[in-house]
Order: sequence, then C-alpha cells, then structure tokens
Amino acid sequence: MVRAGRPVVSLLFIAVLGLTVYLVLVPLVVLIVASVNATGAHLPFERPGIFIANYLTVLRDGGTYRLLLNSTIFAVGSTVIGIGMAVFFAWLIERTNIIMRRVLFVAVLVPMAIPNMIYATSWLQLLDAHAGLVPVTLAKFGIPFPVSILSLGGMIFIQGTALASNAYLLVAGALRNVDPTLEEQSAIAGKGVWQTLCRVTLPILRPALFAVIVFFAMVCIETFDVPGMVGLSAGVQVLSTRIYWLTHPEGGQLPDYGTASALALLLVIIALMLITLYEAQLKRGRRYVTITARGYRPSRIKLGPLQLPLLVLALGLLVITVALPLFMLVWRSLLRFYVYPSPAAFGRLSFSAYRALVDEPTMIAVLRNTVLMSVATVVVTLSLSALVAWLTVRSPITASWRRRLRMLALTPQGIPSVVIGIAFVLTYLRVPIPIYGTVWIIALALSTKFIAYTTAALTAAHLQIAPELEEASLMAGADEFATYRRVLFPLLTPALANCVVWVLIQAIRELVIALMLYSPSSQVLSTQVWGLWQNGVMDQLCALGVVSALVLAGLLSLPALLPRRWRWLPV
Amino acid sequence: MAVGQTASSLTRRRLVAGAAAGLTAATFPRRAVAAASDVVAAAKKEGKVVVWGTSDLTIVRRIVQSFNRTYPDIDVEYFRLEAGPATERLITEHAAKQVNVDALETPVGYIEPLIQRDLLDRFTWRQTFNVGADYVLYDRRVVQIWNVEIPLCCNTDKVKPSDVKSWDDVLDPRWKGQVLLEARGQALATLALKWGEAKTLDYIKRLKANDAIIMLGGTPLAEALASGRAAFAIGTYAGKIDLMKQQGAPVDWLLISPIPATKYLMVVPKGAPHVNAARVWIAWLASPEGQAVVYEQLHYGFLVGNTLSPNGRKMRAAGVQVVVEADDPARERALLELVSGAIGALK
Repeated sequence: MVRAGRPVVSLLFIAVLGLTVYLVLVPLVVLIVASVNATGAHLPFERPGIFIANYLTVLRDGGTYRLLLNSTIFAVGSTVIGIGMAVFFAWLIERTNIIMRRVLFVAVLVPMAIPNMIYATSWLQLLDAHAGLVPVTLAKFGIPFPVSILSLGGMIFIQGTALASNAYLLVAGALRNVDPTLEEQSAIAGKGVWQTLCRVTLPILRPALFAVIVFFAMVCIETFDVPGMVGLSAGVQVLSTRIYWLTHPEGGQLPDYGTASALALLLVIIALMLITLYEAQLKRGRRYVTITARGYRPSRIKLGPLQLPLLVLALGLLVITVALPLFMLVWRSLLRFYVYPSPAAFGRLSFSAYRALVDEPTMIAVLRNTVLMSVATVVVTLSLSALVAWLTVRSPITASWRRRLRMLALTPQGIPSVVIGIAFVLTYLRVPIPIYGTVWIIALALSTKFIAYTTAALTAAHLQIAPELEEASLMAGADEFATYRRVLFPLLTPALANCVVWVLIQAIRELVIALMLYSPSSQVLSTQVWGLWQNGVMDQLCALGVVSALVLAGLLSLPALLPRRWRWLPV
Repeated sequence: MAVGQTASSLTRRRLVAGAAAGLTAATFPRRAVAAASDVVAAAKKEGKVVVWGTSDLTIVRRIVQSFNRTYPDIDVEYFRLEAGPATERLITEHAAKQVNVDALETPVGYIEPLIQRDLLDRFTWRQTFNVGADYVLYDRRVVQIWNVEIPLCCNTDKVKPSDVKSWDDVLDPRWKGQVLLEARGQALATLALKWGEAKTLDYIKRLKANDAIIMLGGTPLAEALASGRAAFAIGTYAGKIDLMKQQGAPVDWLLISPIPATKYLMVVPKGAPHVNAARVWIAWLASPEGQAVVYEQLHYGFLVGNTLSPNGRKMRAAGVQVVVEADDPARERALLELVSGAIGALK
C-alpha cells in the first residue's frame, strides 16, 4: 500500500480509510438493500428477500427519462447561472481593484443565510403573475409582465441566483491562491482584462472550478426546495421531486424506499460519472500549481476605464438577485398577511413577528443545539476531508489506493439526503452507540453528506501548492507533521477557512437530514424554520430569514475590524 | 346517523370486524375495565406524556396549559412531526424495541400500516373515561379527537361570499386562473364519496381547464388566498381560515353543501413508555372540556356525533351536508390516489 516505508502514514491511511468506509458505506448499503428489498408496503429490512421489481418499475416507466431530461436541463441551467455569477463576483472582488469591494462581498454572500424555501417564496411574491409586486406594479402603468415565474425557466432562475452566493465562497477560495504574476505577465504581453481572465485565470483554476461545478450540478439534481415549490405549480417534475414524493407519500402510504432507492441509484451513477471526469482532471495536477517557492506577492488587476461599467453591472445584478428578494422578506416579516406596498399598508406594519421569535420559549435550546451540531459537523467534516485530501495528493501511498479513498469520499454527493437520513435511523437504533435522538447523530449524518465537497475543494487547494515547498522542509529535517503544520497548513488556510464557513452555513440550513433525525431534545434552527413553514407563520418565517441575513452580514463585516495578520479569513 | 355522515359508517370490513368482535366476546370472558382513578394515579406516577403531532407549538402550549389545570402532575412534551414520517419512525423504533412516543396524532390513512403490524394498544375508552361511542374506532385502538373541515374558501376582497352558491360557480370562465387547488386533493377525494368518482374527475378536469393554480399544503394555500393570489381556494381548512379572519385577513369559508371533512385520530403505541399518561391526555382531548379548549385554540372540533363543535352546529343549523372521509383506509387511499393523480402535480 505504501511506496516507501512510513508506518505512521500507513496507519493513518488505514484509519482514515476505515472511518470513510464506515461513514459512506452505511448509507450506500442501505440504498442498495432498499432498492432490492423495500416496497411501498414495507420499509427496508422489514422482510427478507431480493426483488428486482423496483428496477423494472423505474426502467420501464417512460416518465423516468422525462425526469432525467428535466433534471439535466434544470441542473445545467442553474449551474451555469450560479457559477457564472460566482466567477464574475469572485474575480471582481478577489482579483481586481474594483471599488466598494467590502460592500459587494457582503451583499453577494447574504442570500446564503436565507433558507432556499424562504428565498423561493420571496421570488414568488415578487414575480407571481396575479399578485406579485413586479407584475402588479407594471400593470399599474399598463405594462404587461412578459415572463412566468411558474415555469422551468423560473425554477432555473431562482435556483441559479440562490446558488451564486454558495458557489462564490468556493470559487473565491481558489482564486485567492492564484499567483498574480501569471496575470501580470499576461498584461505585460499586451492581453486585456477579458483575455487574461479567459486564457490565464480560468484555465489554471480548472480542477477547483470543476469540483465546484460537479458539486453544484449534483446539488441542483438533488435539491427539493425550488423544484418542490415552483415546479409543482409550474407542472414541471424533476428527479428530486419524484424521489421526495415517493419518500413522503400522502394518504397513509409508507414511503416507497424501493422505487426511490432505485431512482436514487441513478443519482449515484451520475455522481460517479462526474467524479471520474474529475479524476481525469486531477491526473494533470502539476499543471495547476499556482503557489511555488518562487515568491508570492498579492496584487490586483487594474480595471482602468472598465471600473465604472463593471461596478454598475455588479450593483445591478445585486439589486435584482439580492436587494429585491431581501426587500420582500423584510416587508413580509412586518405584516401578518401580504399586502401590496402602499401608504395605507404602512399603517399595518409591526414588529410582532420579531417579538414572537424572541418570546419563543424553545429558542434558546434551539440555538444551543444548532451551535453544537454545526460546530461538531465542521470539526468532523474538515478533519476527515483535510486528511483525505493530504493522503490522496501528498502521501507516499500507492496511487490506486489513493484513488479508491478519494472516490469513496466523493461518493456521498450522489446519495440523496433522505437515504442518508434513513440509513442513520436504521443503523443507530440498532448499534450500541447511544446517539439516536441527539444532535450528534445529525452532525455525523451531515458530515457524511458534506465530506464529498470539502474533499474536492481541499484536494484542489493541495494541487495548487508546489510539492517542492514540503520537500524543502523535509530535507531540512522536519518530519511530516511539522511540515504540514508549518508549511502546508498556512498555505491551505484560505481554502480551509472557506470550507469552515461553507460547512457551518450548510449545516445550519440543511433540512432533510435534520428532519429525519431530530427529536424533542435535539431541535435545530432548520427544523424550527420547517415548523413555521408548515404552520403558515410566514411573518415569523421571514423575520427569521431577515435576522439570519443580518447576523451573517455582521459576521462577514467583522474581519475588517481585525488586525492585518487575521486577514486570511474568507474576506 | 348524524347529519351528513355518509358512506363511512357501514363497510364490508366493518361488518366482518363486528362479527369477529362479537364472536370473541362470546368465547372469552369479559376483559377487566380499568377505573379512571387508577389510570390517572398511574399517569401521575409516570409524570409525563410524549406526543407526536402536527399542530402549531404555540397553540399546543395553550391547550397544554388548560390540560395542566386539570392534571397538573402530567407534563406534556409535544414533538411536531408530520404523520407520514411519524408513522415510519414509530415502525422503525418499534422494530428496534425503542419506542419514544406515547400518543401519536394521525389522520385515518396512516392507521392501516400501524394496525397491520399490530402496533396499537387497545383500551376501554368508553367504559373508563366515558368517551363517546362515535369517537372510539378500530376496535378500541383509536380515539377520534377532531374533524377538519375543508370547505370552499374565498378572498373577500375579490369575491362576495353570498354571491357563491355552489362548487360549480368557481368553474365559471371569469374565475380563470383564480382558483387555488391543493395538490394532494384531500377535499375532492372526500367529496368523491358523495359525488362519485366520475363527477369528481370531471370537476378536476374543468378546474384545470380553468387554469387552477396547483399548490402544496393547506396552510400555504390559505396564505396565498389571503395575499390575493387568487379568489378561491379548494383544499385549505375552515379552522385556519377562521383564525386568519380573526387576525384581519380578507378571507372566509363558504357554507356550501357538501362540505368535506377529515378525521384526526390519536393512538397509543404498544411499548409506549408512559401509557397511562397518554390515555389521560387522549381522553381529556375527546372530552367536552378538552373539545372546548381545542376549538378555542384551533377552531377544530367534532362535526358529527353528540359533541358538536360551534362550526358543526353552524353547519347543522344551515342544513349543510358534511361528508366525512371513509374509515376504511384502503378506500381512502384509493380515492386520494385517484384524485391526486387527476390533479397530476405529484407524479
């Protein structure tokens, strides 16, 4: 397994492999068993036997192929919009001398704090043909609103814009590590800003960008919020909504985990295909090294006359995708029922929803659980994925074993959250590890879900660092641990910091897994949001969205007040 | 038979079950009836009941406060969980011999998987706590705690309630794109018991031809109606509309016959850790005292039987017919599948 005799590394590899196998194979085995064992009337493991009926149902149903097509269009469209916006803002904020950088940075990231279902609700209230703010306002001037938000295009637009802030954090982390001398050389050679971006900056980011694209394409294929809310009224079904309805049937049926798992295996196959493509990118890893021993001097591209048009474009995009939905959120949080903004409506505004949130007796416990759960998720996910990334990029383990470990760590991206949830319920009700019903089981399940992305992001970050830096440290007598701590870790810090922020926010927002695993004593913020949604307390729901956005904006603005040596934080 | 109670009362399955129960009673000696005072004493010792249900926690807290005025020694820990995931969780926990719930709130549909797996405790509800015979179902395993009526609802800024005379009025072309329709179709599935399948399917077809807006969930539907997204809603609850109206929303529900209604039930699972406290909680909910509190807080109550809610009395006084969903879960499921399939949003 190990090329050279390094028993400590070998033992570490075995330990990490064992833990990854445990975390990933449990839901994967449940998925496979459910696909051959469960039916509409039986839960997985309720009866013995292996049946292929679920596969026949899925493969013979012409609807499956329609769902695949819709999912592909939805995922590609949303990813193009989301990643496109993320790359634009990340490049503008991280690589250029654009003014108002701090404002742009905070504004881009604020939607990340708003749960997708609240964000989608805001868009529906803005653009709904009958009562939406924009169509009704235009109608007052006799202008018809030309598009329908209740369509596949509307779904793609909402999902894409919701994706942009998430993707920004990850693209910005990779961009921050690009050696500016490469762009300076391009400028010296007479290439303009656009040519430098297309021919120098983006190609060198290929593994990181590819990881982001693969991840978000899978997120879009798996996500339920926007397709569930908009697609239902638009009459557009995708794979995730089908899986959701199979696992959340109405009218007394038990979840059809059999058919859902057979469909979900399609997701795993798609994920494995994308991971294979990602592996092909990694084979040319050396081409993506951007941090070398030759010195590293941060500098920014001077925009010159492009400064103003690019700023106007950026602010315009932010007004449409951030300010408008946020305004609707604030407006809605101040009213018990939606009323079109007017002087008369101002008389009805009140802060009662905010007061109700403060007065909610369970809120303290919910916040405490949320902090515990999200911090535990960050610790487990980042520790494991940092080790996987280092072992698979830098360790002397043989290439085939490194590839196996990496593919294993990336596989959960294709496993639907609902399957991870049921796998954890079935496992931890039976094994003598007393975490069922606690926040720790939620943290462990979320770590399983998030390890795929953080492994991809940290692998890309490792690839950007030239190995000669560590070789020099080893030759100078430092051991592997000291080399990691003193050389690699400081260079990985921006990517790690971005991953920490990302996992933290995703852990707080994630709903499906939390809903399947929470108990009266382990309620978290996302389950609280779901409760408000289910009970139709929209003003409190929107108030919670506003508070979350304000808290995130405050936290993101905080590092500006820190001393310069702390500026590696994701700003 | 109570006003408007149709189709749900006498099925072949019920006849067979009744005959079997009679045979059992004749063959075996009469089971001992627990005294209410003994159950209450045991419940006080248990000190707590864990309830899984779907109601708003703020409202449940107020109901619990009233319960605690009568039973101050029993804490109620209410856990908000939808009926489907709750049923699934109970089955899984029971298989692992780790049941964590004492009283489960559920609609009729989810009773079948629980009965099939013999997970529900039987109890002498009528003899011990004097729970009305109309509300003890499925061979003493289940107590009905309220009905949920799902009438035709309207936005009063867009429609004058007195102008609407029948369910067919919303099919008028002037209401094109102005009807919100709940995707799962519980209201129309229940109406199918009265209308028949053919008429119901035709009604859905005409609604869709009139560009009905399909949405998921009765509560979001009520919110959308209040915000003026459409003039009518089919699939939201009278109780919810009453509460919104009290808070100033321009909404109302219409006394148009027939009004479909579902049943909400409460069960005690076998292996429940606080079985006596669960029985006391359920019996209190079904009592006139509990029903008064439930109606005050949720605007739900019984629409049939002897303990009618104010809405039930209002419907009876107006001569409005109430159609209650079928007790037979298989029939109920078949109708729901038929109707939600015709609506076509969940496929």
